[in-house]
Amino acid sequence: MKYVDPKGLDWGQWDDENGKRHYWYFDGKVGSHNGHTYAAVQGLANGGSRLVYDDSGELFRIRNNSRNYLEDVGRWQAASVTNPAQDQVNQLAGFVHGVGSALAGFNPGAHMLVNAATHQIGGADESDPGYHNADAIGNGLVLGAAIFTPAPEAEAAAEGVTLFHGSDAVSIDNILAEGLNQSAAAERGGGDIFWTTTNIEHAQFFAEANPAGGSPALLRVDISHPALQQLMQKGAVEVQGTTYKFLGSAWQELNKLATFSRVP
Amino acid sequence: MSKVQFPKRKADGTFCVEVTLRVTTSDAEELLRRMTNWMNQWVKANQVWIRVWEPSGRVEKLRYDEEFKGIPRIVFSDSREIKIQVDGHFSARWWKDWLVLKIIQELKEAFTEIQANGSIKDCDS
Repeated sequence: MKYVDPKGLDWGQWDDENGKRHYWYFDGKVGSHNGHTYAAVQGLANGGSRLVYDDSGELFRIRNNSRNYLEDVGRWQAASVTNPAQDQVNQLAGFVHGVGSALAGFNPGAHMLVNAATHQIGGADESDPGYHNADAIGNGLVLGAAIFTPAPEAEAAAEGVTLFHGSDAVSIDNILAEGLNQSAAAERGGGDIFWTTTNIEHAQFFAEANPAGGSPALLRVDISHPALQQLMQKGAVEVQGTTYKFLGSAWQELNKLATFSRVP
Repeated sequence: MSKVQFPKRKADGTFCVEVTLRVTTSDAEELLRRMTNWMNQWVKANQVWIRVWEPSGRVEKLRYDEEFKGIPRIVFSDSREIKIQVDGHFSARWWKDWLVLKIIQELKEAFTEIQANGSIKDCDS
């Protein structure tokens, strides 16, 4: 049995006076919460999602989809858990509501959903209808046959992100030998942004269309979640869908933080 | 002298690229008709592409007609491949993003006959 939310729940956002953005998952249309007027989060229509991070630096993907409205994608912290069951018991103490209690039996990283949903992201209190709404969703997910059960790709995500960059063979060889270098990129007709994607087919197409007109080649870029998060917090990398773009200011750091290899 | 070799620019700075996609169909004529209709409708419905970059939430608005001079046209089709040509403006900057991330991506989602990306080249090469 799948849980279908009849209310059309949506994420809203509000920027405080310090420029900090707050997110809240609304019961129905986006409106006011705790005296603040929230605007609908853009880009979530038609199955879209956004990456956000909380005060502790944890990365989350949010969607206007009650089945997976909040996904923890920065679960590198969970990788060190050696006894998930006991760890959940410890960390869930005091946080037992629908989402947490529903998922604890399935997902070693479930406690992070609880933390995020009730504290950093939403700042919920139990008197708020949204809290009970989340509670209902969590229970709904139990009936939905473990939608948050870790998928293989989610487990892989705990290690880091694999990105692909398509270019000409000479440029790829240069990156492998010397790292990213803006003047070298300019020599080959490249710009000041290092474009990568998680979609290898897209990267292959960009390789075919390389500006140097050389033989197409693919570079694989492996970067850990903490390293990526570090660059994101500096504003040195932007993400849209499957596309990750690294600004020139990030290249030196990326050379140190990422592992480059050639796709055979 | 420009270091950019691809796409090859004409004297006025415009360019034309041709994408080849591998397809499997038993009725190439019908596929051609449906794809042509789809392309016409798609361009009308996708004049503006809004990208929201994370984590800043920066909104980027891209316009189709700032990149391309017209609707992509299917210049060849048979039971195994189709060739699509599109003309780009001299000032086109995001044409590859449009082509790869939007047009071809959504074309592939709409037509199960498309088996894989093929190749891209200048129209006159």
